[in-house]
Amino acid sequence: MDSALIPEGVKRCSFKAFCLWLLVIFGVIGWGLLGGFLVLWKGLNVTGLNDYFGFGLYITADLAIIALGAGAFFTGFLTYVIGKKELKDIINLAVVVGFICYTGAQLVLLLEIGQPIRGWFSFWHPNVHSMLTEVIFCITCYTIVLTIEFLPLILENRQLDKVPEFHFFSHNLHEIMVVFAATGTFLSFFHQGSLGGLYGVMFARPFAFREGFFIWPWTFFLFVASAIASGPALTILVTMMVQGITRKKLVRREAISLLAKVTGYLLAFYMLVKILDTWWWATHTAPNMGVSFSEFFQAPYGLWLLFAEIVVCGIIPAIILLTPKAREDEVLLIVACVLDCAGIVINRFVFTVQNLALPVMPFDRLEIYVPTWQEWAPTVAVIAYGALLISLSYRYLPVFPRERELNPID
Amino acid sequence: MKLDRRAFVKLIAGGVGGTLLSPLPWKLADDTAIWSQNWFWRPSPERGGTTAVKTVCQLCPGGCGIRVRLVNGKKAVNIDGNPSHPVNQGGICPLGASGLQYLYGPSRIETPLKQTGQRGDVTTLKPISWDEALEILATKLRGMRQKARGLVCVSGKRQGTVPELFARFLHAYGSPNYFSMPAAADAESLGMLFSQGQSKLPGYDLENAKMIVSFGTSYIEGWGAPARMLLAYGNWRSKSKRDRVRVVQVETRGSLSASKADDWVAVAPGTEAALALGLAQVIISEGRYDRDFVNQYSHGFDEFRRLLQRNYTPEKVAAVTGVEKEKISALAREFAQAKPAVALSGWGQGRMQGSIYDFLAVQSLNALVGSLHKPGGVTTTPSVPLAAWPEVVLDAVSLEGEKEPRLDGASEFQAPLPASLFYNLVKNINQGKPYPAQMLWVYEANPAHDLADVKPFIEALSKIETVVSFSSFMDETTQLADLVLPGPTHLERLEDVPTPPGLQYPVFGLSKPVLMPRFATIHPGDILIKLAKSLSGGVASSFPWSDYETALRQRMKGLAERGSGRVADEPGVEPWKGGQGSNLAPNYDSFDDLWDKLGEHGCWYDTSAAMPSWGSAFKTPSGKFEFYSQIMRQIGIRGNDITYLPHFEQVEPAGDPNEYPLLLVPYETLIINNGPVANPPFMTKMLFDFELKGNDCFVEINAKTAASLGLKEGDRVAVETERGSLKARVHLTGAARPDVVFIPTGLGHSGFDSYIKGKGVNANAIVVAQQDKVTGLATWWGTRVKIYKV
Amino acid sequence: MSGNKSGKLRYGMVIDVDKCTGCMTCAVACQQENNIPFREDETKKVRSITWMEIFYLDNGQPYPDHRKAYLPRPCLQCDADPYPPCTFVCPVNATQRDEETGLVSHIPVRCIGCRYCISACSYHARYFNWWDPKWPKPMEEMLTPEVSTRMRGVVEKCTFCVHRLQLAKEKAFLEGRRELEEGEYVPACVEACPAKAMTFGNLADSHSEVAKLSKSPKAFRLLEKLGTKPKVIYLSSQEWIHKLADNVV
Repeated sequence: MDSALIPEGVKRCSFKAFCLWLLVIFGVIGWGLLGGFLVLWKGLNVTGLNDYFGFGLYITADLAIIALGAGAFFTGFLTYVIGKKELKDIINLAVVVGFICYTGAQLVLLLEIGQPIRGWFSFWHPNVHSMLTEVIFCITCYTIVLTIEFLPLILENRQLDKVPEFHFFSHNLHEIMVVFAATGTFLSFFHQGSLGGLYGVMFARPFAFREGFFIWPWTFFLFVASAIASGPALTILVTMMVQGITRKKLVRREAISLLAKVTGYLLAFYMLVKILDTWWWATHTAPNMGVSFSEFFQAPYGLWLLFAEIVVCGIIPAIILLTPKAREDEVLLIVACVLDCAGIVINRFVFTVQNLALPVMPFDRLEIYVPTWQEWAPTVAVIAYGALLISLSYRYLPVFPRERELNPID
Repeated sequence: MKLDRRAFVKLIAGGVGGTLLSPLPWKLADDTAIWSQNWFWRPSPERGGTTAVKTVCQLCPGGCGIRVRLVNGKKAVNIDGNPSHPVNQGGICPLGASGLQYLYGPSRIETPLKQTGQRGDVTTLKPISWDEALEILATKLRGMRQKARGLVCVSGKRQGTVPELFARFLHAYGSPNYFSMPAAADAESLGMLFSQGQSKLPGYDLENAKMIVSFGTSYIEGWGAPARMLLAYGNWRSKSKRDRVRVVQVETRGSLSASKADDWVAVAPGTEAALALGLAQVIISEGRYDRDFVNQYSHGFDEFRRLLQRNYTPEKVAAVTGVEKEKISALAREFAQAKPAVALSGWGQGRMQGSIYDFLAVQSLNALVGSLHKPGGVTTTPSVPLAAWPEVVLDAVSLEGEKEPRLDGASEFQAPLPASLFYNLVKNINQGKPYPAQMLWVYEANPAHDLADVKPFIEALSKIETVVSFSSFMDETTQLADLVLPGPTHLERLEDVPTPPGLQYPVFGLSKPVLMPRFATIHPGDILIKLAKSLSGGVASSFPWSDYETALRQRMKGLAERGSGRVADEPGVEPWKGGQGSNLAPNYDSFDDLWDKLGEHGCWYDTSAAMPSWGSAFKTPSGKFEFYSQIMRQIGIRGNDITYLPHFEQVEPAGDPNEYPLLLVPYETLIINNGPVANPPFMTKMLFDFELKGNDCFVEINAKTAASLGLKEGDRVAVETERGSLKARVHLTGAARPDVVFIPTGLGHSGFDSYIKGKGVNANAIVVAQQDKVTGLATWWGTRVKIYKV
Repeated sequence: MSGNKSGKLRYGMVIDVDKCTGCMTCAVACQQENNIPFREDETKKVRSITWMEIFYLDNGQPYPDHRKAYLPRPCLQCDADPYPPCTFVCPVNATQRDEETGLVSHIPVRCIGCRYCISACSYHARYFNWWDPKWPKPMEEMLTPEVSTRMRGVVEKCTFCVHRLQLAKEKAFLEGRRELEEGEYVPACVEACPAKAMTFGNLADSHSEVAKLSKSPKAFRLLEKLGTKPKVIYLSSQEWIHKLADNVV
């Protein structure tokens, strides 16, 4: 039925099956929309947030999603700026995933702020000292860049491409893509760094605060490293997932292996930096503020979080990814990438929720945060939104340039 | 179409640049920014000129000077303390500061109401006109005039011209049954009568004391005049090291009063008086007492000393109170040395009557160290020189009425006791003895909630044909009324505010309407005058005034004629400084001038009355302070020698100790109002979440008690006494004595508005009032209880 | 917005915890003065707006050595250099420190409700409007005209009753004075305190009462080690209260 829209020379599932799949996705998105609508209509009182937990699941999700979206800029950087041509196999998907992450994060952010119609005030009344201003500026700009990067792919749709203006436009965009890739890299690099600053500058919060050298440049690069060490892992995961679902080989293994190897190095580097940061924080920063390291970990936000983040979701996947034999193994590769992504989610969760849960004044009480379904629904819906965009892109756009070559139709 | 890359970039850049350079987007954005700041459905307060009007708070007997700030002269938006009022000096308590939430309270009664259905059903309380309401009441009163004694009045306000008018109405009508809500003042006035020969109330010169020992009073949590006590506390803590004031709190619970004292002596429940006697014993046996006072101005010292030596040695007192004997001796020495030192009596905020012996024990301590009628000690609150009204005109019916026994049986004694024996009243109404109560008036009181051991009272209401409430609010008693005659709130009415309890100098406050009454309410004073006029005979003749204001003016003439005293019109007046007896030239020259100035500033005070000398202070048969009370004997109180001496009687709490192994002790705090009006939202908001959580209030227990019962912080429990059971949660605290369960009072309202209704439980519903065998006063302090998880 | 340029005005408050009787009048006066909304159930404290919050402290000892104290906490108006933790992070300049007076303002109508400042403040001095503020109809009458009511979705906090400073300045201006006398500008809480446990004034003026008190050996600040430099200083002679004010390792 929609065969005219499907790229030439590739095979797609039946329209009926596709619609059924979409129905499932729309179900989840509908649930998310309902949750989001309630938040906008009734206010944030329907969430589990409160004056202790100014930030909660929304911010955790946002920060994790944005970090994981770093796969786009970093793959783009490797592809266009460094010139790793083999990554051209995967760059389109990386861009789509990045686009999903950034737009999805902004949608969630819209719910997260109490006055969404004033959301743009950070452009109108910007406080240049606020890390959040920096982040908002960069995210917005980078979303525009991602849109521009995504646009030529959309215009390459079989029907759209027939329009000469579109064809011309997309061709021109392709030509200057290196500029956007570089811009994207620059922007993304900065705001990923600023995201760390977001917490690092909270000097009245001993859990998050870092001082002097450990805020600049340390935290900055720490967060950049955390993003580029996990973003590509998500790109790999999504690729594997699409390959798994479609039961097709869409990307050459070299591309994935290269990305996995780079991720491995980055993760190892990140872990080194992270462990140093944790050590300095535990032995110097915190005691200077009158807090002992053990006070930072109170049930249910115990030391297991630190162990999970650094050992289970950091060192282990790094070892897997750095071992050529291991990363060639499909299962181990997937495990490593899942752990890597989980690590970044834990990291953002820790900085958001655990940070706020901990008593700062000696007579404070440890508070526990439990998100409501109105928070889960839009968060999960962002994943469904991603599935939707990837499904549509895969079905109607030439996302994988090598697909035809790798899957010749008889 | 030919468009190369250069042209493409140019086109985009030019388009964007052009738009940005035009003012359009900027202007639009700015407008949108301003628009998006609106939130048009939030209330926006009316703007306008503001004025401040001074008046006097009447939410408790403290009588603080307040300032009400008005916008455009008609909307009250703020209450703060009046800096020139000597009692509170610009400070204010949380209740006074919340006053506007009563004025604008959602549970205000707007018109007279008549119960048209089942009593207690609020939905069938229907609005009627004032004419109809007064006619209904007048008809009923005319009808029962021959059985005039059946009219009972309960006033929450103890002093002032309005309670006097109520009492006068009953007198003229022919009923002896005018009662005040029970309070420590009942025991105090009796105690003063027995020991000093006049039933005046004690006035404490706390501002000049060097040591204060409080026997169970919530001295900074609502005892006496609350804001005055808080001010005094601040002053004690401002003194230099050399003049340091020492405060000792004797109390079972680790209250704020205990924590804020220099020393907290934790006694076994209800044994404060035993400790006082223990101190007295040490002071006497070590010869540390004021010899001059004891030898020349006291009577019965030897009997007292013998009793103390027999029963109240530190060892014996230690066994009763649980306080180490060394501590008792040390405290006694300190108290005797710190001159002047003063001991305070009365549990909590003074809402319990208490035993006269407890009061006498503490006053004896004051007497021993020579602190009676001395600066920094305790004297009697001087009376305000008001002029008298004409005598009540008695007709045949009211002459009969004068001979009728009071429903509380107080006249069993030779001379009628000045106090109300409220619990006898409730008992007798329930039994219809000696005669039935036909009509009940309730003024400025909410006994259906506030009376400790409230159930028998609610039962008694069902024995009474007509219940009339004069309340401004839909309180629990008003819900049970047949006729509601709503009065104006404290900010809408003219009324005198007498000297606050515990004060050492006379103060006369004048509260006035600061704005137009919000509803068609009528001042209870005016209602009484109207009612009297519609009745014939002596009642009408006893109320010769055209309105309440005229009646009030008549009494206030006495102030103008006094020749001393001032209207407090400037800040910083500290009447306790420089000692009493400093003559104050009036700052008004005529009654009208005084009336105007009082209207403007709200307060008259006088320091000219010096404390009486020891030679003239005591109106007892011996003319001395009587440790051994001859008056008690004279009026027919029978007993052995101990009966007439201050002593300690351990009250056996109600309930079977096997079934109810713990002790329930209610406590009062300043942040939960215990008066006739329920807690305002401003104050309820400030309760900690271990005091109120959702609709659950908490009982305080010790961790040891909790462990023995298998309870954890926050567990829901049933609190059960022989009177009944309540649901609450437990809060574990070191402030609670093991085996004692502390429950806050003032919660558990079923009336008023949704901001207080249903929050917590009413402790008064499950406590059992214990009565003193000699006086009949309620000496309740605890009830046996069990708690268990639900 | 520029850094800390401590001038000759630095409004601050000294709260004597020993004198404080825990009556909470300050908190009531504050609610009244600043039109702070209330709901039927205010017992979920992490969502209850109390610009002047009263913290409960106790010494943790068992009966009868147990002692408690209440700690009133307005916004501490941090004087940290160059910025207080909250204004530093606000993306929209909705909260700023006026470097002339040292007062930390908050403009609710500009606030976008991101709650970054709430997260940054270690004293829980900032509150979010989780609901539309609503008053029972008659109680809308008692809203003060000087302080606008806020809306759902924005943050609010104690302003040291900055509108009172405006009024005092206007009055002084009409009387031809350029500077305010001590005591002319006092927040509602300080004015209401019946025990006179709170003092307000210019910390930068060494002759002022607050400046003298702030140098008392009994003085301490909350979480001094964090370097937030609060302009609210507490006094107490109780060691356990000092201990509860700051973390010590």
